[in-house]
Amino acid sequence: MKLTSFAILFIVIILPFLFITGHQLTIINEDTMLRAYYDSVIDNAVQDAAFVISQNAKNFSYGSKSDTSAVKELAVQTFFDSLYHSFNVHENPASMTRVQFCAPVLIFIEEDGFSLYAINSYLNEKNYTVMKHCWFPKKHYIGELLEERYSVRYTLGNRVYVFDTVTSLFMEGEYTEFKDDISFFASRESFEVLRNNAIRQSIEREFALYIRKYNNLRHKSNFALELQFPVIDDEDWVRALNDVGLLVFAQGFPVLYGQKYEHYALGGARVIRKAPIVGYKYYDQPYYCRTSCNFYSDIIGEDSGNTIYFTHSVEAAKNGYYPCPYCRP
Amino acid sequence: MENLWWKVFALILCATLLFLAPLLNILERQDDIAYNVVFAECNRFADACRDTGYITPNMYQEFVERINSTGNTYEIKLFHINRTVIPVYTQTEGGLTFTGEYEVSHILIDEKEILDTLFPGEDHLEELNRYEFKMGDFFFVEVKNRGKTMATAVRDMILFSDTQTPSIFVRAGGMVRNEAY
Repeated sequence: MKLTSFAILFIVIILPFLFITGHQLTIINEDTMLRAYYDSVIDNAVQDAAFVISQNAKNFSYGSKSDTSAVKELAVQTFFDSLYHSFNVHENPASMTRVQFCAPVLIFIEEDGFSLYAINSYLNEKNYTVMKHCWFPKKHYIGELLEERYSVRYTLGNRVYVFDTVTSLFMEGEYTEFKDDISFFASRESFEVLRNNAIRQSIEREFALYIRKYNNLRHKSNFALELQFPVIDDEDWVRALNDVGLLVFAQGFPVLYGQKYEHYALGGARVIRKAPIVGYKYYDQPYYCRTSCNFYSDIIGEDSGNTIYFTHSVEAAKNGYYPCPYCRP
Repeated sequence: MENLWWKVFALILCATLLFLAPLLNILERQDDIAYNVVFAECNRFADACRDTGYITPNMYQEFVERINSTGNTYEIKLFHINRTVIPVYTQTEGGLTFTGEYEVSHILIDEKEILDTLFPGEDHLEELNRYEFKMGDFFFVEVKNRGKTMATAVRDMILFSDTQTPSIFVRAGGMVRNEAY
């Protein structure tokens, strides 16, 4: 055979392999892009919802008994509106339902509890089975029994509700008020560990229960998708446990290759941990800074008397206060 | 005679494999890079608009220049979805009666109106012509390539096909979070 024949034979053998691997690579590449796109869309939508929550933040102040359901409703509505517009399917009911079922579980984290907004099935007044997102009852963050007698309900802040199972007494207050009774509350670190575990376990328990319910529904109504318990990073949990926010689990967007699409996104609204701005005078010069600033807490002290609080740095500057040169608020 | 056909066939095969296949490969990589650039720039532009609450002609021109630097031509669409809360009235015999309810309507404003505001023509060069959003509105930017990219053209030539779907398509944006004007 001549050299060209060898070359052609070589090409005929190698070409299918090259073609197949090249095609697979292209698919994997496009799949990665698609997943990154879904991630960005969901993260964006959650941030929008968190923004709406922080805009309506006055309902979440400490100890207020005002109704938060309007804000919750608004937050989830914003989340879905943002998703619909991102996929350009607004006012297209079939596609909107498709998108809804890709975000089957939203967890709304409040200061003293959390509630699930998740797909549920019920009979409506005409005896049709309806499947749509519903609010589930609010659950509290309840931890393990401490000292074999105290059942503690935690909040996102320092406040705790303690039930003494021996004397049947119900108490509430800052955790430091209970440090004589409960040894774990003596230091801030051990309290934080207990609190984080309690919140995390309450949410996980509730979520696991819901997954079982959802997968039962799925068997009855032929969903293609089985909901799985997502793996959440520890850092994200710590982030979640510090503020009012929305935790969203998205699964089942169409992908091209490999594992099913699975993503969770967390939007913290920065309501509770929002550092207020404090103004003070130092050598007759007005300054403003955050209350967490070391210079402020060491030199001025919180109870020096001549301090003034602002809600925003703009407000402080409008009153002639300079930004603190140490913490640059 | 038989030998001649054999040579022609070998020549075509050589041309395809030595020239077109590597070219296609390079062009496809170029498309991937272009997609990444467009994706990043769209997100950057949309985020800038959402965080400030307005578009200025400079912002828009810079965005167009940046995505045009990839070497393709693009069709850019801007969507401003205005959320307005309107009361619901019902028609009764005595005229309109307020039902006590409201609904949120989403009104789509497309890029024509936005661009008319940004670039009103030569008579208005001195004016501060920026397009302003309301906090809570939605803003999206959608970019797709116009015509075919080089990679698509070469692939179509090899495979004798005619691809109509754009190879670069990005939609980015979300809710407007600020009114810094």
